[in-house]
Amino acid sequence: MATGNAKLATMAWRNIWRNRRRTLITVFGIVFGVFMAVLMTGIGDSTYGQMIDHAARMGGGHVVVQHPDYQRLPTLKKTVPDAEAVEAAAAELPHVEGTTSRITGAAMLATAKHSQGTFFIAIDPERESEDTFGILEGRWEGEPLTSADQEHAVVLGAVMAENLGVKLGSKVVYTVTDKGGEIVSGLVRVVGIVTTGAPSLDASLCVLPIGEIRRSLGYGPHESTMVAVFIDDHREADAVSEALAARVPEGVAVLPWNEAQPDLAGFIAMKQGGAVVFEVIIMVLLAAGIFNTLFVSVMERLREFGIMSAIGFSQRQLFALVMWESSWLALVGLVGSVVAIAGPYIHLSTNGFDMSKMMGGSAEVAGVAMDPILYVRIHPESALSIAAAVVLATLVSGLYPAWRAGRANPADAIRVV
Amino acid sequence: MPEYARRPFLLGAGAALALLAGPGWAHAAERPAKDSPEFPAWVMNQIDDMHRGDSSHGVMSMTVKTEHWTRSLTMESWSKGEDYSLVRILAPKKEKGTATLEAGEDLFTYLAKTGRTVKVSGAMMGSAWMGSHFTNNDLVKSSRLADAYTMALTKEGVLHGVPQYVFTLTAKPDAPVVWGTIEVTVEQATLRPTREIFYDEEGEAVRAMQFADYRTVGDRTFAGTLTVRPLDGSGEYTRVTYDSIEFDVKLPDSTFTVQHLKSL
Amino acid sequence: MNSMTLAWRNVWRNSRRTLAAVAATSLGLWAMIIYSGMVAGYLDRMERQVLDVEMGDIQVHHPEYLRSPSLYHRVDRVDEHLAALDEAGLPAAPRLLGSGLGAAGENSAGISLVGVDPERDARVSEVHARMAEGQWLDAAAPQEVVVGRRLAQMLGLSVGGELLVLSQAADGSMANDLYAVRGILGGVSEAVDRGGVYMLDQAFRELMVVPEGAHQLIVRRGPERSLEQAAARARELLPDQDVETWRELKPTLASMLDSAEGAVYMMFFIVYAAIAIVILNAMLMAVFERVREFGVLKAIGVSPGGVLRLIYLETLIQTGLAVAVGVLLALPANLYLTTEGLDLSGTVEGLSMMGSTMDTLWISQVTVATYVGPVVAMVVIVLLAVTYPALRAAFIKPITAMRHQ
Repeated sequence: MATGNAKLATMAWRNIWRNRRRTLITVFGIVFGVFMAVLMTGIGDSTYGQMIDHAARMGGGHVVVQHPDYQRLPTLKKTVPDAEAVEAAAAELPHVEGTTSRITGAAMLATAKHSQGTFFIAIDPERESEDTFGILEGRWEGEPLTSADQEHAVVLGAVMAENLGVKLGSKVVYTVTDKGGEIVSGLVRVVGIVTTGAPSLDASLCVLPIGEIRRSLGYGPHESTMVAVFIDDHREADAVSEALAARVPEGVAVLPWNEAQPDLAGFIAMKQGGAVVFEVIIMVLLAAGIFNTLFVSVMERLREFGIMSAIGFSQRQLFALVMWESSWLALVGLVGSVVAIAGPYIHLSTNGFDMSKMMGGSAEVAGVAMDPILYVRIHPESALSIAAAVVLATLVSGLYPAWRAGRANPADAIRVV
Repeated sequence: MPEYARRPFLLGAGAALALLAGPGWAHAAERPAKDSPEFPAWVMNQIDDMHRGDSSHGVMSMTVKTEHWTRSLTMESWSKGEDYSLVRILAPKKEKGTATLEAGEDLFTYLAKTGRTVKVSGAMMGSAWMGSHFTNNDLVKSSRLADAYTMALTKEGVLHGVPQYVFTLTAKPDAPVVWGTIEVTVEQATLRPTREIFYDEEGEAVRAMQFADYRTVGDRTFAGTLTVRPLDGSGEYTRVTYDSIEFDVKLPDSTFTVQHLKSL
Repeated sequence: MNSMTLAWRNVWRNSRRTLAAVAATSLGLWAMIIYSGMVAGYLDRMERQVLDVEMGDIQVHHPEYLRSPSLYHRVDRVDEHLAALDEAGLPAAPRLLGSGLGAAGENSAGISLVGVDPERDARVSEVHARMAEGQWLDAAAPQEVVVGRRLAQMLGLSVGGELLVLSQAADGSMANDLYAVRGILGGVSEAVDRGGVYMLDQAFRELMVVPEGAHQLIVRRGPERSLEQAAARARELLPDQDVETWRELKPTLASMLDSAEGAVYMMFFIVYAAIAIVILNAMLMAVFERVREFGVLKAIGVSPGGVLRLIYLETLIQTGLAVAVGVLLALPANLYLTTEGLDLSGTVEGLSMMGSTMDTLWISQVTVATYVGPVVAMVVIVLLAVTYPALRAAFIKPITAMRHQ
């Protein structure tokens, strides 16, 4: 009797529901495993994405364009001569959400009683926003900078302000070495003091309007030390970086964030490695559970398979039957997972859970502040790969029982277990 | 901040570089009346000029007293115009040969012990010069007081039995100087500076410079002793005293090079 | 018939089913053991990274030093203190600390000078084993120094290169000297990477004119004491100095490690829960499939207690087998993980977290507890998991049972 696949599938479906309890227990196991995997991956995806975006905003964007030697040894002599051209080239590429030019370099800040060296960031405030310049999200005294040509204004980190002994309105003299190697000073007044939460930032932050700095340093009107490119999905950084590298003039290097900030990249890689290990363990356990179910189910139905074989089912068909059962289990498991997880997932992805009590405030990793609220947001690709892993685990664990079913023969039908 | 910068004082008034540009002063130009608005500027220019001789060569002693130690150095100095100066340590033996060379906008420190020269970078400008209460910046800053400050005659009085003018210099809004005001006290008759007090913008007195032992060599009059004192109650100070000096010395430009330094 | 014999025969009567259950259980146990070792390794490594390489467990300073770090705020009578600490079983080493300017070629950078006694320092710190290039300090080479990796990069220094150190000595004079770079460190911590220059204590003393005293004593708690005990003892021995534990000195790092520990235990718990579910699954099926059989037993007069005992015995036998298999399989895996470990990130040489550099190789830490814990937990889980179905089976009505299936 040739029984088509459809009939086998239907038969398999009915088979798994013959023993409701067992099936439900197995499905529950699958749901649990998927839930764990989604939780871990979701936390990871969103946390790392957050950290990368955060780092991008504090640093040089998702893709940074700078002088080729700047990464190794940053000085104010190593510039991108025509930043505007680079920005224009970048703006045309897909995924690019925004670009800004900035100048960063070493400066000495001095007041009557104190002085401190630090790295300043010179920006064009009108072209930056919270998306590009994360500092704007901190706690403020006074105000942020208003325009690139604002005169005599500076914004300092809270700890830096304290070390210099200044408050709003105090004057600060900055000293830098200009493009020609000359030492240049300028006067600024504190218009804003910000607390970002990352201790190293608060102690070193010094933000100046780019117009003033360009003049002090003797830069050209479009010159800067870096162009920061922001993209909508940080995973496209490598692609965007390559595309941009083809369009910029010579003498300029284009780096995706993982090359510009290797510490952060390493941290994330390590955490992801840990998560993968954890997920593998979950999947292995899942497979073990499913194997057990299928195997027992097959073993106790040997008589039945024997009879089926006697009435003409081929080895292949019996094998296929059990594999179908395995597939149905996987499917029901996945559907059940989606149903069960949907609710909690929606809650966790919008509200997250607040870890700040556990962490005692905010934490700092690779010089980047971490948000104490954990969101669970999973990328579609990751969700698909979890689903695929579950299906694979289920199918693989079904192989041996299916094979065993295939080997059933009429003699088994006569045996009484 | 490196420890050895201790309490850095930046961007001192022109008087600080007096020592190194070489003091010397000859009366010049017409003296306006003291009530006229040009009087303060004229006096400040005179003072600035006083410290810009054509060239000089001399030997001086510097004593630095801090909370933990007191140190005395004997140094030899050469200067030419505003932009060149060389100061070399003669004693103590441990540091003999170490020197500071100012050539134009660049400042170098030559370390005799290791034979190495370090160019003083922007970040190092705020640090102490030769371990004293002067900073590297004090040496190089060459802007005239008039450029950075508006000036007014605010008081007349008597100090050490000598009648004095007191000028208040107020930092111009754009000037890159850390001080809010500087109070310059000069002798009325001779226009020799007696002292300068530096205030921050809140009006707190942060440091004081005192000029004493005026002497004349040839046709130049200069302060033989200069004392810088932080006004934080610590009792610390740096005192520089000229032992001998001569002016209008023939000094070729090559004097102010590292090669020449090493050959000494 | 003896329950035990019956149990044993029951187990082997359906060997395939037994083997399936045993396989699932032993796999679960295997996973638990492996994970337990990895977790221990992870936590231990994180703490040790920070403590072994730079901080030590306890640090001793002059009472003013932490508030106002200065060349002049020193711990005096250092030899006396070290002797007292040695006697108390607390390894300790002195450090001299200062700052200055480092220059090489055209470049200069701010540096932090650390004067160490290499022999003593090796007792409290692993920094000497963190060389990326070249070698650690040697008492016979006082003019040679070891520098942090980013400092070397910034100044363009390689092993054998020359570093000029400039600073202000304790007597006010300008301290300056030339040193040869003997070695370059791998990742230690942000601070050391960016500006650390290690030299012999003698060299420091000569350069900075600090003939006596030390700025910091690094103390370890020794193998027998907890951190608190060691700190208390140290405070007794050095009453006029400032003694602080690493947790007091770096509270954010401490809370981060604690929360990491918390997170890890939470995951541990989740893994156990997952395993428990698998076992439950297996046990449930094992019992419910044999309902008819139990019905027969009850029908011939076996009491509920007897059925219960039988089931438990069978379960214990199966579990015993699973434990044996699981442990045996875990041994070689753990051997690999404790020696080779898992490299999680490939190329990165080390990265920083809260200012300290972490190693990316994940090595397990395995002790007897690594095995005992999971085994005990497994047995408990299994017995709990089998209780419900066992009770059901024990109280089943024979008629119902025999009609089943």
